[in-house]
Amino acid sequence: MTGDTRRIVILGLLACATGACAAGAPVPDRPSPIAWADTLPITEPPSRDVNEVPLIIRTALSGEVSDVLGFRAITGKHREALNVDHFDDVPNSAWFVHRNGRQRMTPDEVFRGPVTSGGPVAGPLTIVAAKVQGISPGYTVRDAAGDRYVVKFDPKGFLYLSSGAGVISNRLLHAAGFNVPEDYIFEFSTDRLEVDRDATVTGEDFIERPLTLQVARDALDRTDPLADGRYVAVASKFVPGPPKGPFFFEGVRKDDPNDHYQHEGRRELRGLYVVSSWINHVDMRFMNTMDAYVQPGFLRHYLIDFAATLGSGTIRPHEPHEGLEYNFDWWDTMGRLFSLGFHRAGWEDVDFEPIHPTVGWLSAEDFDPSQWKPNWPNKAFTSMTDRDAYWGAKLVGAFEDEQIVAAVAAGGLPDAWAADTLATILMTRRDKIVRHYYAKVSPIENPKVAMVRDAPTMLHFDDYGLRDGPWVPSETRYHWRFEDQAIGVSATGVNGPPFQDENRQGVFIRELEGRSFRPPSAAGSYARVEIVVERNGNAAQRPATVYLRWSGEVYEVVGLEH
Amino acid sequence: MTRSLRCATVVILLGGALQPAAVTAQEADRQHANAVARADSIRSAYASLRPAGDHATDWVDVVGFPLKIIGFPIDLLLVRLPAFAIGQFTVPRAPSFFVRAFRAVGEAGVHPGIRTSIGPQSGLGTGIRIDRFDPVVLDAAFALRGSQRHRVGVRFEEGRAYGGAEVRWQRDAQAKFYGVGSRTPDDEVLFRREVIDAAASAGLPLGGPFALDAEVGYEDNFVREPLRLGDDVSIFEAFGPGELFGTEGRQRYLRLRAGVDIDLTHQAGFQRRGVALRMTGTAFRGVRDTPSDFHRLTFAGQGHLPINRRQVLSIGAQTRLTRADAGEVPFYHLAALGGRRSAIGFPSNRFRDLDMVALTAEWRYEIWRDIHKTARLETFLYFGEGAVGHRLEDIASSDWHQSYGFGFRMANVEDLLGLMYFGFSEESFHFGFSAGWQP
Repeated sequence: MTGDTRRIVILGLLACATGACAAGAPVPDRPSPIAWADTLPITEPPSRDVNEVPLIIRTALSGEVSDVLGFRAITGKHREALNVDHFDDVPNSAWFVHRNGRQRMTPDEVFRGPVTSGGPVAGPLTIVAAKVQGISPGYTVRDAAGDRYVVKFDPKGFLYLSSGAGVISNRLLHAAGFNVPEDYIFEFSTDRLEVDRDATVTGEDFIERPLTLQVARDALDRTDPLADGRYVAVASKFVPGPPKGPFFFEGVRKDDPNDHYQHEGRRELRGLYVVSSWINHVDMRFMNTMDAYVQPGFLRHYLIDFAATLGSGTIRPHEPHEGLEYNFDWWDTMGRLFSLGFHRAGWEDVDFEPIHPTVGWLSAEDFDPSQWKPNWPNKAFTSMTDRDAYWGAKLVGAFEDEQIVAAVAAGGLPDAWAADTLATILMTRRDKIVRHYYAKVSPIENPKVAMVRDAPTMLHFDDYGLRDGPWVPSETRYHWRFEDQAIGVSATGVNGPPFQDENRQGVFIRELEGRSFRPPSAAGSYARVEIVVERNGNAAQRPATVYLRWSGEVYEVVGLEH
Repeated sequence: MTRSLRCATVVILLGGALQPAAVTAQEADRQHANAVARADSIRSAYASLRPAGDHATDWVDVVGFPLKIIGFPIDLLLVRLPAFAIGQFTVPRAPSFFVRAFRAVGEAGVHPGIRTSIGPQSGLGTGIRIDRFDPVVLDAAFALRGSQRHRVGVRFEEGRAYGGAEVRWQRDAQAKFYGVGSRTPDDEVLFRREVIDAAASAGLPLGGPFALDAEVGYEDNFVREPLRLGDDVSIFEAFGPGELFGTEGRQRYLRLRAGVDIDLTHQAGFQRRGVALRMTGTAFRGVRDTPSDFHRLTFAGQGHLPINRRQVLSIGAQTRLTRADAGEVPFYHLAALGGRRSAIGFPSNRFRDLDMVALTAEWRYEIWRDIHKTARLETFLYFGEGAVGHRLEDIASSDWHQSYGFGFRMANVEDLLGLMYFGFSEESFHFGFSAGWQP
């Protein structure tokens, strides 16, 4: 063993021991992420143009293999997210803002989403750039108010397919808490089009040429007009502040001093997997993200371009394999290779037809949340733990039927049956996500100790399984274990829900009454209540641990971990 | 401490938001720099208050460290470097002078290309195709081992019908010959063949699966010492004067060919299904001082039997019968067995004689399909039996050669993009790779 190698091993073992200590500290004693800490002013970083091809190749060739062959994946020891607070949540940040998951939005708020206006105003639409080649043509336009929009069209024969899906997913992701641009369903007539005299168009040869109105109009040959001769598109308003290129789902952005947590360790990005699976956002990768330098001078991180979501594959309806295999899926490919082609994925036998031209193809009955895959491996997604998944599932489970209907309405689908069907599919997929991920943990939230004289003291909490899931109080049991090592007290018990008609539930723990002569808890000395939720006789895989601190008079809840 | 820092954060944020509108750009820059400096100090203070930005090393990292060390060069060689190289070619940037020049000549109808071979044993080749003066097409190709091919012609197409004429000069610099018969040793001798070929051809669809084609041509053949012989044996050392027809002088032929195609195949997804048959008759008439007339009949059939959506059993049969009408058949026009079209466990043209028969079977199964359905990767398991003989009926059971192997095809709906195979036979292992790129 060389000196360098020996040093690395020793440092590794020391770091290992240190890490184990940090991970083993009681939740209330661990550092907590600071809200809005990543919105402090920074020097404006340069924009970065990323060539996606080598990154796609690296991701496709090595992403899945290195992840699966990595020792961590073999052992299944994925580490928990870095930026969770004492209540297993994340603070508001430049990445994520709590919205519907924390305070229910009205259906109207969901319908409006991030929009602040009615979209491009009446008057001329000046094309400042155009993408006329490729599979998905579009414009960058400036409206009469001076606002700029990216305008993208639906494929021929599928009006509202990608535009509708894009706007619906925009509203859902916004309500979930992610930063998204203002997307609008936009109908316009071609006589409004003008071309900026400095506008250029870049061909497939990457050569820029002056853009003419005729070239811009020719791009519309790849879509269909509406019955009245106008065209429909999704118009995505430029986000405020200069764009600074995409963000990645691993590492940090080195020119952003606010970017503290490794992205693959961010809970928002890990939990985004679950939200993406819900809306079938198979193209959730760095190319559909954007950093923007916003006032007073920090990078806000956006998700953009939702054309390949729900039943839309941007230029055609989604097909059954999308969402079930990576574009280059090593294991399925090798499976077919070595089984002489007889390894067959279930989707291979699916005879599918688009549900409706405006909806495309999106499965409800065959949707299995645990099997969903985006088109490309994503480091944040593959690092997800059960706790991250539950956090993401909470975002999905928080959507009520009326909110989903409102989001679908924002997509402007002209056919009521198609809109109803899509909303129903989203509800079914939501329910499957809740059923799957809520069962992996004990989904209790907002715990509080209620001191009741002459009665056993109760630890109240919200049971999100009852709130969002298919379970009912009569089939639910809470196995609890109380322990306060400082006074040498421990107890266990099982309670049925005390309230048969409410989500707010609790367990009676006499030991929570405490001893009034006892001094307040010292740091590091906390009582814990572990609660395992049992539904229909099936216990959750993980307990919820509530941390309590004795204030001198009462126990206060100071932490929660699922 | 935390509370004061949070207050400071709010002050900074509000300070940014509440700046007076009428500040000069210089003043705004200065204020922003100050805000960034204050923010830097807050960020430093945050370091001890918030969780670490990366995971601490744990025992999994320590135990997995050697695996990372082992895997790094593999990852570097097989993934990172190829990805970097491809990235250099695909980066969407203003094209370099060379790229601009390449595109400019392309727009002018001049198309450089590269391929793994341009003829028998030619090695890596490069070429240039000029279609600036459509329907006139010029084509020139050069290979590493000295082979060349140059063509000029006209071609008219209307749907599946076509007609045209071309003149070709081709030099196969290091072609191999193993002798005549089914039991020749695998010691090859080399020769150089040069041919001037002028031909007019036409194809006519007859409706449905039927199509006819015909050709009238003139060819002038020379066989000479191979280029870059090295330690190899020349055909002129192995065969003395008069021992092998075709090695001496020039053989000039008028060539008449007629063929019929019956194509009952169709595309199902990427896979071809159905049966295709082709029959061709070619007559060679020696002209000027060439004392040789002969004709050749070729029958080929290929059936693609679907197993399921991704699997096809592909069965082929071909036979070639060559008959001398006067004089002899030059050795390079004898029927040949070997290579990827007839026996992948043998090199191209490994066995030659007047007649040849080959039966092949391939189990093809698609293992990967691009999500946008622009390309697929297909694997095949191959088994073939083939034989050559002076007469088909004279071929004995001991004359048959087995060949087996496997390989990969990269293809899109219309074209084969690349082929790699590993062939095995009683003689040897044979690796084949072919790919080409011509914009």
